[in-house]
Amino acid sequence: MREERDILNVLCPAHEIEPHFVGGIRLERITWLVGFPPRIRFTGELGDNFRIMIDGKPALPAIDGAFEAPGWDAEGEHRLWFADRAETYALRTMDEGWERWNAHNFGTGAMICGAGIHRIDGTHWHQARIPPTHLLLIGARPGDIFRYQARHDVHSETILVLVPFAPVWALPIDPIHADKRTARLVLLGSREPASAAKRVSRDRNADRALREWVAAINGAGCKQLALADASEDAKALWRRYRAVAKRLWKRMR
Amino acid sequence: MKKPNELLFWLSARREGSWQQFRAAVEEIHSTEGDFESDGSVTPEEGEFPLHQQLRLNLERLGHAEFFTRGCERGWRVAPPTLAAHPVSDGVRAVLCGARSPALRERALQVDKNVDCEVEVLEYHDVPQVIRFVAPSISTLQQVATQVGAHCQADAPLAVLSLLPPCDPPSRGSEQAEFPVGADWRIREFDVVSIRWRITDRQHAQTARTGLFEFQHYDSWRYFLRWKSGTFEMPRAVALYALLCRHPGLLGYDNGTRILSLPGSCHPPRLLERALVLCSGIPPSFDPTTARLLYSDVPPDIAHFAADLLRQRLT
Repeated sequence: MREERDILNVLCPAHEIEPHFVGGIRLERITWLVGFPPRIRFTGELGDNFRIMIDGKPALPAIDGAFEAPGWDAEGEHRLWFADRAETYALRTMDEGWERWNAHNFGTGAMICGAGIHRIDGTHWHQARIPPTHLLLIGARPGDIFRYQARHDVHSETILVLVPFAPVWALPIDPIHADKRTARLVLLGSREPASAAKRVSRDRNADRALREWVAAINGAGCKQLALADASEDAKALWRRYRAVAKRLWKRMR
Repeated sequence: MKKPNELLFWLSARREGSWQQFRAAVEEIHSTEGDFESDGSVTPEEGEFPLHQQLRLNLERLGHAEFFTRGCERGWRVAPPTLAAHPVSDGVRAVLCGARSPALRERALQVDKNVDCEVEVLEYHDVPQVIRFVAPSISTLQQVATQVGAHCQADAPLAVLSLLPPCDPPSRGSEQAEFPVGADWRIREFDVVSIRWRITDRQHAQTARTGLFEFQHYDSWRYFLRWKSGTFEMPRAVALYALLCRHPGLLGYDNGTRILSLPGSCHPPRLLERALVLCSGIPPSFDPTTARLLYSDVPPDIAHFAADLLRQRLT
């Protein structure tokens, strides 16, 4: 078949009349995206009696010479009829619901896909920006404690960590031995501490985590580490965390 | 400028495909009549980057799609729609990345007026429309993401950088490689003084104690780092920055304009570049007078982190 714009096309006999679906966003062989239909053109000599129908309705040339009929660009399958021949084309909408996948894995437990990152196992972890000197993260529930393994191959003023719970405080990794001149209590989110009574577990790991949570808060309190955010709200919240930790400490003795 | 938008719709509808299908779609969409913004040509002028490669690069940079990686080893796959957010002086800004349907685009442009969020649309050559949101807080952007039907990635540039390994030379345990056999390979060496590639020969490549060598044969490019007399096949950008470790003046950063610059011949690794581009949503521009790539609106912490991963100092 000659190109649509071939000058010799005008000399084609009627049986060489060919339809051309030009442009649009073609998704498959005869399927286009709704909103981006093709322009329907013909090559060959179209005589005065040449008739074109789309879905049984007469098609007329638009300003650009392409043929249109009412509803020709609606979603669904369409039948183009001309010179005792018929062709089919279809228009469909786009299904949304794109999945993320493990596109880039550098062995950190998290993956990059497009502009986002996610855990390799698909679990939802919380993201936090922390100073690289404050790698001990404390959550609202007694036992929510996470030590971030800092990378030593780069140095940054702020690091981004993924934590299995919503972190509330970032503390120095060993609060009781921290330098109180520089170490701070960094508030990451204003969540009230969960009631100590709600946390009852006989699991050994959970029990250890609970003890570490209590020890970290009591250690930071005994050391009298200053709050990075010295607002009254932050001070009051920290006092409530200390109170819960003290109560738990007494109960555990 | 509508053609890259149509290409992103096509990618989003098809979801994944081969490299050949991508190239064919670029040709089909860009050769359509009535495109008054281009001459319809997809054949590059001499020295120009082919259009399909330029589009692929920009789609990757903006996190719209992944190419030749896990899950799409032989082609491409579109990433899920994501608002890539990062803090700015007046709140939080996000760039709409990933898959995009016409309906999703409309939702993004008509974010509920009750949400305190500004929407802006930027047009750049060979890039789908850059749709950005500015909101006072990340929680507002999360609301916007829900309305649009997208994920919300807080601190996106930092999140991406945090997962990337630095551009270090091969360690002792790294697997060594051999140069490809055959006389048809065109061989070039990266000159660390002029920061340019120059033609060399196999004998020099085999005897060099240190150097980065490019072997090219038709559509195949392979990169080998000679390091302490060993030969290691590596990604081009990683090998290049390992070779140029602490190279004076390579990375420039202007605190006032927040522009990070590097030589046009020293493209950073793809994902690191993605982190830089997500700071603004704007692909790098090329300054022909300095032959440098300019990345705009890069915050100082991101610039320093990127420089550290590239084993460079900012000047």
